This record gives sequence, C-alpha cells and structure tokens, in this order.
Amino acid sequence: MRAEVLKGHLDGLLLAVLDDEPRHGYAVIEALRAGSGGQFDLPTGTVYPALRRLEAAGLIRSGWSVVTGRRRRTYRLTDAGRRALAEQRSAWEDFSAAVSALLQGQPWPAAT
Amino acid sequence: MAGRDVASRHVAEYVAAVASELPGPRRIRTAALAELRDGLCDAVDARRQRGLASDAAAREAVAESGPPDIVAAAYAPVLADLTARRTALILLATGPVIGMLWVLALTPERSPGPLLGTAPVLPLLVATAAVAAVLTLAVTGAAQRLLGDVPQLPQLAVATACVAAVCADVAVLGLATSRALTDPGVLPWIVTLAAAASALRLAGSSRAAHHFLRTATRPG
Repeated sequence: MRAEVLKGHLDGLLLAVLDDEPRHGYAVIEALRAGSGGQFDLPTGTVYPALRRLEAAGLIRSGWSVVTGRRRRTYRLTDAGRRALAEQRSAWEDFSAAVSALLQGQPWPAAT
Repeated sequence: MAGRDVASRHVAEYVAAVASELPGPRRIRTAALAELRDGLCDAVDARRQRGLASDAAAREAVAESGPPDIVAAAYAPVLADLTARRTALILLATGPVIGMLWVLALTPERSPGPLLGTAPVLPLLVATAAVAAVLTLAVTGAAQRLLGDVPQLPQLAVATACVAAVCADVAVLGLATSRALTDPGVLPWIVTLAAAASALRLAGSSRAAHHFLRTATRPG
C-alpha cells in the first residue's frame, strides 16, 4: 500500500490500534503491521512523533513504566480519543462506500 | 555481549543522526528521541529472538525506522510545539514574579497602580504577553481539537508573547534608569534584583522571539 495513502490516515489507524488495549510504541507498530496483513510500510520512526501529537491533542494519554530494565511509554485512548475514533470510522465508511460506488459504476449510496 | 554492544552503537548513531537534523533545546530533543531509541531497542530484540544476529537485527531495525531526515521531519512539528509551550509557561511563571519585584522596587505604596500609571503602555504589553502565552498553551494542547490545525499559529503566538515581554522589560528598565538618573545614590537591592531579572528575561525572550519568528516564516 502506498506510503502517502497510509500517511493521511495514520492518526485514525493509531487510535484504532489503541482501542483494543493500551500499548507501548513498538507494540503499536507491531499491531499496525499485523492488523494490516503486512501492508503497513510507513517508516516506523514516524509513529512515535504521531503518538506524541495525538497525546498533545488529548486523544490518548501515556505513562512511563520499566519493563525488563527498559523504560517504555504506554499509550491508551482517552474518552475524547474514543469519540474521535468513532467519528473517523463513520467518516471512512461513508467515504469508502461512495468511492466504491463511483469506481465500480454503481448508483451513489443513499444518505443515511 | 559484544553483539549487543554493536547493536546499541548502531541505534545510538541512528538516533544521533535524527537529533542532528532537529532544531531546538538539546534537553527537549533528547527527551523526545528517548522513546525512539527505546523502540528501536525493542525492534532489535524482537529480531534477535527470531534468530537474527545482533548486527543484522540493528541494521534492519534502523532501516525500517526510516531515513533520519524523514523521521526528523515527522518530529519537527512536535518539537516546535513543545518548545513553544515551554517558552509560554516560562513567560507566564516569570511574569507575576518580575512584575512584583518591580512593584516593590519602584512604588513606595507597594501597589501596581502607580507603576502602571507612570508607564501607560505597560498594561497593554503585559496583557498582550499574557494573552498570547495562554493562546500558545491552548493551541498546543487539547484545545487544538476545537481550534483545528492552524499552521505556525503556536510559533506566531509565542513570538508575540516574547516580543511583548521584551518591550515590557525595556519599558520598566527605562523607567528605573530614568529614576536612578534623577535620584542618584545607592540603588536599593530590590531595584538591582528586579533589573537583573528583567535583563535576563529580556535576553531570553529576544532570542526566543527571533527563533520562533524564523521558524514561523520558514517556507515549506
């Protein structure tokens, strides 16, 4: 999958990965890769600043812990993050339905 | 052990390469990149557990992380907001303290009224600095969800706060100098302390304003 396509949806993807459970940065990367069937191929170093940006916006929060002698920053969704994720899912469903209809020459989906 | 040292060196060199592409205070850069370094160590360990040699595991983890300039470009806006936020907090914290020092130094009544009346521009400068600093905290915090992403707004807001602080410090230092010239003698220690505090903040605010204005007006 093209990197520029993924990049535009990175925030939503990160929120979705954290919806299941709190994770630290590398576990978020692994979950993105596993959840996308290996399609996620953005530079993984860009995930960490994206997580910091979501935290600054109040959509996730983090805490430090020490695991096997190494400090890890673990992230979890906030209530605002859950609402933002729900909005992104709804927007994506509407968008993908409309684009699919156009690309496949089908009638425009009725507004719900 | 030797293998782990090789891997650690690869990771350290990579993180240093990313850091060298980033502007801003070293302490903020180091803190921001600590997570990247720890994440790379996790990536190296995961590959070693799958049977890869340390050297190959480190090279693969670093390659997967991306070119240093790409990762630095992703960190740059985050660091810029962190630096703006830190500067705004410093201005909000030092404002009342330095203000109180000048009230004690220049007004026998120990009241800000006469001081603000002597220099009518001071209330406007203080208010501008405070509002701009609070705006900086708002647009770099949770309120950005409501305000939306306005490029360069944090840098412009904190630069405004810094410029207003510089002007306020110049105004009170000018006032103190004028009084010292009309009433020469031994300066009370409180005046010296207030002047030193203002001079220090003036130097820092000037440097910060220059940095943030340069960042805000940089193309691309």
